[in-house]
Amino acid sequence: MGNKKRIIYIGALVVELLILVMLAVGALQVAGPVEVLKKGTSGFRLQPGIYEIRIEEKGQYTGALEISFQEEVPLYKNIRNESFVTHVNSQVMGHTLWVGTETAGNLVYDYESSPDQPALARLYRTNKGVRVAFATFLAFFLILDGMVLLRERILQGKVNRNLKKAVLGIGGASLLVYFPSMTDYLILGEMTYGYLERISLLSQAIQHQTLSPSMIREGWYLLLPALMLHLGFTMITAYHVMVFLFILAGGIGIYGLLASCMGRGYGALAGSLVYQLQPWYIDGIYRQGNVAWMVWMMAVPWCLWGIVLVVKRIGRMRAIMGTWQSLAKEADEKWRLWIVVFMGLVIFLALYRVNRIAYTSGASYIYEIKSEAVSW
Amino acid sequence: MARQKRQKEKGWSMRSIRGRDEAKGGWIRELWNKRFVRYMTLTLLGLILVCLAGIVKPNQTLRFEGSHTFESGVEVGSYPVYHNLSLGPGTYSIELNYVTDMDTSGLCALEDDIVMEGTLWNNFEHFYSNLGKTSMEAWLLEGTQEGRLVVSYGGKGSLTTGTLTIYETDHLWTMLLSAGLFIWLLGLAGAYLAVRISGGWIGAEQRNVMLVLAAISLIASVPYLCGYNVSGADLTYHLQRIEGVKDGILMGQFPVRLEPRWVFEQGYANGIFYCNTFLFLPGFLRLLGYPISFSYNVYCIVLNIATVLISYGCFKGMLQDRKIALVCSGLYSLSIFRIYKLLVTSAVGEGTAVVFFPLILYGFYRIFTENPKEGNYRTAFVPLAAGLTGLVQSHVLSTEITALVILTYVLLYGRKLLVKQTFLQLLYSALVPLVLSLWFLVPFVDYYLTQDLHVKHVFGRQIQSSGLSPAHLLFHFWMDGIHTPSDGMGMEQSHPVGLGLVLAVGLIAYFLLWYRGAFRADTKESSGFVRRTALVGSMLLCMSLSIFPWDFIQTLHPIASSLVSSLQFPNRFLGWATACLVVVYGFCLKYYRNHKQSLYRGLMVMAFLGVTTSGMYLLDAVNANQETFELYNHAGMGFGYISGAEYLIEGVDPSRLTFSVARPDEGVEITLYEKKSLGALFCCENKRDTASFVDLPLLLYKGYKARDAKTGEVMQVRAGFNGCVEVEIPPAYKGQIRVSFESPSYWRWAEAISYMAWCGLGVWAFCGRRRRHGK
Repeated sequence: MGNKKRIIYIGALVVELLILVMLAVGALQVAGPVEVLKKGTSGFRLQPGIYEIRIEEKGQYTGALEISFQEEVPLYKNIRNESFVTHVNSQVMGHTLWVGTETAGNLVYDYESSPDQPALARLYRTNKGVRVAFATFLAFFLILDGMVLLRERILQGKVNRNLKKAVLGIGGASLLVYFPSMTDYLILGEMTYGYLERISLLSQAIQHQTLSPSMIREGWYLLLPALMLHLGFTMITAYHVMVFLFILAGGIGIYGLLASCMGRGYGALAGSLVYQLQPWYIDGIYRQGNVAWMVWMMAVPWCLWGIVLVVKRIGRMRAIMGTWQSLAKEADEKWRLWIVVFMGLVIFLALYRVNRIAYTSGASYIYEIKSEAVSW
Repeated sequence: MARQKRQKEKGWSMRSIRGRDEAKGGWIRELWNKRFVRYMTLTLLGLILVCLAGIVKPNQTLRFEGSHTFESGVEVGSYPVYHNLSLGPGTYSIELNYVTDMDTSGLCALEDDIVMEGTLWNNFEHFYSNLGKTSMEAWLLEGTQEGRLVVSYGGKGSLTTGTLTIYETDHLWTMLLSAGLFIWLLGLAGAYLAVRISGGWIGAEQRNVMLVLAAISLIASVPYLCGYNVSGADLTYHLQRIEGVKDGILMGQFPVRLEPRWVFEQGYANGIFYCNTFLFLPGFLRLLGYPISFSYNVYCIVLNIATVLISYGCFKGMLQDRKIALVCSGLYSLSIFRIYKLLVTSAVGEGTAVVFFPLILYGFYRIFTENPKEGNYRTAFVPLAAGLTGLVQSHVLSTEITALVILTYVLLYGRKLLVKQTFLQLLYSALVPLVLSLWFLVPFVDYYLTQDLHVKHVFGRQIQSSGLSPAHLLFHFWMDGIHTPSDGMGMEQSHPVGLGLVLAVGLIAYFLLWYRGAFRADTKESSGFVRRTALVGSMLLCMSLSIFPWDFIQTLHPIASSLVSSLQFPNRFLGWATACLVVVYGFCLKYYRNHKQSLYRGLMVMAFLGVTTSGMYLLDAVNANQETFELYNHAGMGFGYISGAEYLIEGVDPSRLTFSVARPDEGVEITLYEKKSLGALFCCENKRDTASFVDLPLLLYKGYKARDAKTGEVMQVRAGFNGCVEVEIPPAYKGQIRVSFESPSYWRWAEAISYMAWCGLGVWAFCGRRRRHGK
């Protein structure tokens, strides 16, 4: 690496660190809630950030209370979760607003009954906005720096050709499966909403420090989105990130398993593509919305990979595996064209499936769920 | 011999040299020696004689007396007011007199049960209270004895039909003559091609290229060969534009500024803002007598052929490889965006603009990558100038987006602007379209600055909610869909607003190649161009997404707000993005052709599969699922559809516009009134000793003049009821007044400059060609 390049990289790293430190300090400083609104319907201005509306006194209203924030100049999705309904018996009184750019508007109450009995609502600015910015920048910088490092290694010829193919194949297949989620909304499968509620409960438990061992045991795979929710991300982002990571991890696992059995050839890649792009897996993610199924599909290859790695340590087995690998390599070279054609066919069919799912599924904009259920 | 020797040294085969020499000297003689050509020409001459005889022969006028009054309140469907009409094959103008006190109280059409299906073409025409007679056209390809004129009555208002007059027209003969000429030209072109091939002028590869280009054009044109129009949201609007061009020419306007029969014959300033240069082709077909559906379909087919050929030529110029250029031409011509615009929404203006994008890109390529010191560089501005001229004269919004693209390229190539020759070429590229389009731009700017049009009041319209999600860009198996993406709708049943997976993969492949340092050793200018094109393409893709802060930009400044609002849909950026990414895909193919054959073949196969499973799949789905209809003339589609009423004067209520007559103020008596095209002639007397007025059924735009027919004295014209032309009648005036639309003199000067520039350009091109041949 040349000196000029090194200086640029170091400079960029310093800038990144500065941004992160500033955000971290900001997150620490804006720890306490800032009151912006006291009572009633009035015009006021909001800075970018994440806010919470809390109904601190219910007043004497007897039915449902719809509260919405109406912008003077409405900008598309500038305020997310801008309206919500709370019921008279509700125990959950806080709702979150995500504000993108500075905006002005009114908080509007809409009573179903007793219109002349106003409740007291307070709007708090939370430090979640800075936390989200910190987490986003951190992830972005990590990915960026990782890519720069990888590029340097590639340019120096230090990255194996098969590994490059594998990264491309698995990444591409993961993106293909993830395709219907490349939107700003959720596709609700049969079980999605249940999982969203559980994520929400976990998040609330994290917030109130009431996380029980049973919750962790039964819902460990939902901890990441719950944590993201707690940080301040919307439910849509948290769920999408979780789905993508499961898909990617499943792809890595199955490729690792097959590569340890057959070597890093086209056969292993084709096998992992078949596994990742199988229709019942895709249906499980989108039509059923079954997160446990995603976890199962992700975990099984990893477990088997572990077993294979252990088995390979046994001397006799190592010899058998070696023979098997050389046979696979031979077949790989002999049938390469057909393997590529087969992979193309698998990708094509999966593409059709994910396209149909995206084309026929409705959009659900669920930014948060304030569940009243107390039992896990 | 010496020349042949030189050419041989250049690597040309003797066969091709001979062929070239023969073709140069005697291809006309060789063509005439073909028996097929002689027979065809003789047949054409015979046809011309027959058609001329048909045109010269006096046309028949049939008059039928009768009357029928429909009982008020009783709905009647298809009642034959005249039957057993005996008509020979031909084209007819049908005039049924009627009296009604309500607009659209009923409608009439010519029907027949005995002629073969598809041989009687006509649409229903509505009745209007102030019109009094129909003006519908009918095409009868087979004679009948049992034709009948049917009227459907809705039961509201009164309706009495009267005399029927059927005028035979010459359109059958003009249609026949033009069709014969077209077939003759086609045959001649085929024969010429055969001569060129047999002379060795055209090689096997070129033949294959021509065949594939023809196939792409044919595939893209399938929906226009079915005899109907696929009903897009903007179809009626563009058919009205075509009809407007025809009516404008018929009534003596050139160029057509105000469409005279549009908006219930009150005249609409569409031609001022939406240039109709290219609609002269379908307008001319309408003048020859072809139905409007047919004219529209022919225009779309011509657009497809032009897109295929121009894109091929430009991509070949950039990529220097016929096969890759062919693939790129297929990817571009059958792209999702083109099909969406041209077929799904029938946005024929934008569809026309798309033809010129590759030309503009090729212009950039030539200006920024060629060596300014070389002789050829003098003509580097030509593609860019030609593309911009076509663009300005086809679609203003695309021009707006193109301005942004040009600005981006100029910024990315900032340092090159300091080179004098490059700067000059860019300057020519801007000046030439400006001068060539001055005839359109001057009235455009004039009206935009001086008229308070509705289009100037729509700056508050927000567009971000109509943006796309990333999934739209990667979607592959598009269908016709039922809605354009908008707030909260997601992708469910979305219109095909995307890029197509193949182009997205091309872009990803390019960035991966760049990522792994594939172009590091490449110092060619072309690799710099493709890098910038990939960046511009990516930027445009981002701008089409719903995450791009269009709404926020609109809050920054009123001009920004107005510009953004005029875009209407962020998906318009996909047109330019498609063009850029096709270039990127082509360069990826070129790279792999030179470095890795297996991937080159793979990308070729992917392009083929992509086009067949995405573009052709979409074409088929739209053709099969979307509503279709057949329209033959103005009457069938009504006179009032003006889309968003953009070019009405602000304050005019479009719902109150209908056919109308002159309305005098109290004290004014009109003794004679004749409605003209964009004008009127009337005799009136003002019996009061104060000034009064007469309202005319014409929408007031700048350019209307009222004069005393005898003295030529100019009378005051102002806006009257609902924006109509109101003529002030002086006290105790008695006389004849002529009202007409007259283009301001500076419009005429602009036209003259443009025409002179076109002529100058022709002379320059001719001289250049002669100079090249001389060399």
